[in-house]
Amino acid sequence: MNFLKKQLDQARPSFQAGGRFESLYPLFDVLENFLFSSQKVTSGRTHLRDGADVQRIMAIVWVATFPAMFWGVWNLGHLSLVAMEAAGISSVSDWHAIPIELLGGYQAGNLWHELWFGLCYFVPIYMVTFGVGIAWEAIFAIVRGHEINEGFFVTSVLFALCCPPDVPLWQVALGISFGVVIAKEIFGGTGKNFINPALAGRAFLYLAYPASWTGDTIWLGADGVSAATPLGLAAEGGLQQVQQHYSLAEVALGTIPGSIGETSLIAIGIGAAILLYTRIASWRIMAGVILGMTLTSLLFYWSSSSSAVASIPPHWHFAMGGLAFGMVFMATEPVSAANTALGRWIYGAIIGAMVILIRVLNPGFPEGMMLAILFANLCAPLIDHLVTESSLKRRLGRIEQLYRVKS
Amino acid sequence: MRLFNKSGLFLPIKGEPAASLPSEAEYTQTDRIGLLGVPDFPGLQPSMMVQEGDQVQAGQLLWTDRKNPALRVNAPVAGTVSLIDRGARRILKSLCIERDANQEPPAASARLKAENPQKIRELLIDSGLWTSFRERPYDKVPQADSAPIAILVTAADLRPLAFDPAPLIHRHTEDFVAGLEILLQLTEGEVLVSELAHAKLPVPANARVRKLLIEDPYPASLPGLVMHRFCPPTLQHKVWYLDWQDVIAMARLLRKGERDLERYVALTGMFDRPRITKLIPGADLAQVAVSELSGDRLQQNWRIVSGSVLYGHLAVSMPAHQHWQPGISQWLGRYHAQVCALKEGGPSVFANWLRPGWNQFSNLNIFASSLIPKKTFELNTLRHGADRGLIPLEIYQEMLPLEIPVMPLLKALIVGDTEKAQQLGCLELGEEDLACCTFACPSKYDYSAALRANLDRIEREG
Repeated sequence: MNFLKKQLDQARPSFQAGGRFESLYPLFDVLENFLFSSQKVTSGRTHLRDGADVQRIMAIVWVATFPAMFWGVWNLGHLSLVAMEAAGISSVSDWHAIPIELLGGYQAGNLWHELWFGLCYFVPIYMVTFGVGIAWEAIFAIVRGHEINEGFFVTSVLFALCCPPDVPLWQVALGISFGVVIAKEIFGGTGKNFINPALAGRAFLYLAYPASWTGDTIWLGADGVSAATPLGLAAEGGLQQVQQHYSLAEVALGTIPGSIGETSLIAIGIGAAILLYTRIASWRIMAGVILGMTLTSLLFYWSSSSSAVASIPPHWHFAMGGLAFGMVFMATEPVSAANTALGRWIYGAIIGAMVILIRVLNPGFPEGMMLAILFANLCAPLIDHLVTESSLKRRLGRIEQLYRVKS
Repeated sequence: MRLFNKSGLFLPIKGEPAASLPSEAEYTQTDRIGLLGVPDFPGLQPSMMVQEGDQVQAGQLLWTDRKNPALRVNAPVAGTVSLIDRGARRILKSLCIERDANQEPPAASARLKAENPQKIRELLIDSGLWTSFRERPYDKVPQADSAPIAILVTAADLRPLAFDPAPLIHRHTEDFVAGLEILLQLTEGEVLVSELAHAKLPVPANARVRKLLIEDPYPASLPGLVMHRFCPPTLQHKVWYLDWQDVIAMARLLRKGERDLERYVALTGMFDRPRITKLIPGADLAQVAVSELSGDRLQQNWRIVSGSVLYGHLAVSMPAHQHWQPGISQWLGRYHAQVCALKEGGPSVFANWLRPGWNQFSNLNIFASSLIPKKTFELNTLRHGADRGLIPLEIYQEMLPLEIPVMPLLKALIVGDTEKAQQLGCLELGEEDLACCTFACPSKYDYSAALRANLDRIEREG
């Protein structure tokens, strides 16, 4: 440790003002803070500061995604190997075969083989996301002279987790570039973005390359095997068709095909518990989503709508697709969400209502969470404005009354 | 560990002052006395009445404010003006007087004749006690002819490590009641006294005196938060506030002619014996630190803070044995009833973001220490993190129990949108009110400084 610290201390002058690598200071800063906690002391009138910093907060959100990540990786390997065995396919035909055969194999039921198979698909996606994204972050930080925000650690893992496993890597690079540059950096970086960068990137790919992002063939590794997601089945034949393939327990536990991180309600629930206990995520937003989703889906459930999806009760909606994942990790992203207490309830409720509306009424997309959150992101400033105006009005009324009584 | 939101800040810091009250005779005297300029009086433009090297008598006028002639600062003791410390753009940082030990303190004069409100104002201004009052909006000493709609006496203190004023007020019941009666002559509105539930403070029987019940936790006792609930100041409705000790001092001055300078002050934090003592405003805190920190502890790095740890000024930052540092305002502030010794800085820890943090404190439950109930911490002055973009977590609203949304206000202050900030009620607030947001902010912004910058601009531009 001391050696490392000495190296950093020696390198610091050349990154500071007047040094050779002055313009690269943001890189040095993020590396130094990553390795050692800063020894800066408080200045100004407030002499104590809370131990919380953005780095720690982002690290905790990052860790909170781990249960969903590891479950998703294993689940991907498990489903793919079982499907390959059933279809009589003995090996993967593309480059993924190299690492898979190097350390693992294709034996369904073997925990290591299943895990390794999943990792061979997930890790490249994550690496590309991280590498390309951090490169953009660094370029902007150096050119504009601001710091590199640790929020990117979260953006990158969330983006990777909501990719389908079989997505081409160049699309991953394109998507995260769109998310980081267009949705975040051109507005000034983390803290100033008005839509969720990870979702913006995903939406861009979803709309630009629907072939790689929808259908039955993208949810498993290996070519020639396919699996329908519960939501895909629901769009075709309603709840009955889903139940022919999957039980509610399977959907909740997460042994179903889907984007890597979104399948297991239980693993996502562990992440949610971490975020709620640490009070990093807003419980109001989560409660709002559940409320809006439940009310809207009950409305359809009780009405005699002709749509197949309309007959699905709220708990099935909650268990299927990206709803829980989006609610816990994406909707609660504080920067692009509403900033007032009441506003957070409304913001959450809009997401909950919108996701059901898209699922039920829209024939094009079986999944609606991504678009629902992006829509609510756009509404958030308006919600805040209205909430603030109304509480100001109430307050002014109270002050006026107070002074009228007195005089 | 806190899962659900109760507005306010719970700061589990070690170093509470001992509950026992100081004896009447307890008094810590220092050889030098320093009077603070800008740190106590924001925006001060002094016209100086003395120069370096002058001999001054106790009670002699040292400076007034060009924009507010009622702001008069008098010499608390007789001695020699040894230093007038000017900062950038000639602002007055502090003025130091070497106490002349041979001079006896002046004897009490006869009872002053304060037959009408105008005369009371004159006496208070002449004696320098007028600076006890501060006026919202803008949080400054009021002009001589200002007419407040209410005067708030803060007799409840929930700042971290602060002492409970109630037992001491009961010690001076007569003066306290008389002081409140004096205040009644300065306003046609109410005189409000904030108190904690158990305090049972003595007040005069007058319909215009009202007690306000303050409940845990910090920052509910701060004047800004009390006013927000009970008497919101506006541009037309000015509200004054002052500390309970100044109420007693006013009564002593007008009833007995005594110039009472001593104030109860809590020595808190890492001092050897955290307790309540008496000091006079301007006391040399470097000297206090040397006598109150013993043995090896003197060699460590300390920061002595005048005022609350959440909102005070840095008085001394040093191994405490290094005495006298010109240029550092090592004096007890005019409005401070607390001095805190904090460990300056801390170790650099490898991969701190990955550690459980059994000994680190945060209001968010992000450290393992949140699992230990009622744990207290020796907090140090580390900043705990680098400057980052603002992440609008719920924590900001939880810090401040205001009726208005906090996040839009903080954002308006940071970007300097004075119009929006004014709409959102920044005129009601003082810098100290936002200190808990500064404390909690993971992005390490300073909202108190931002508020002062906005208030100054609003006052300048109208």
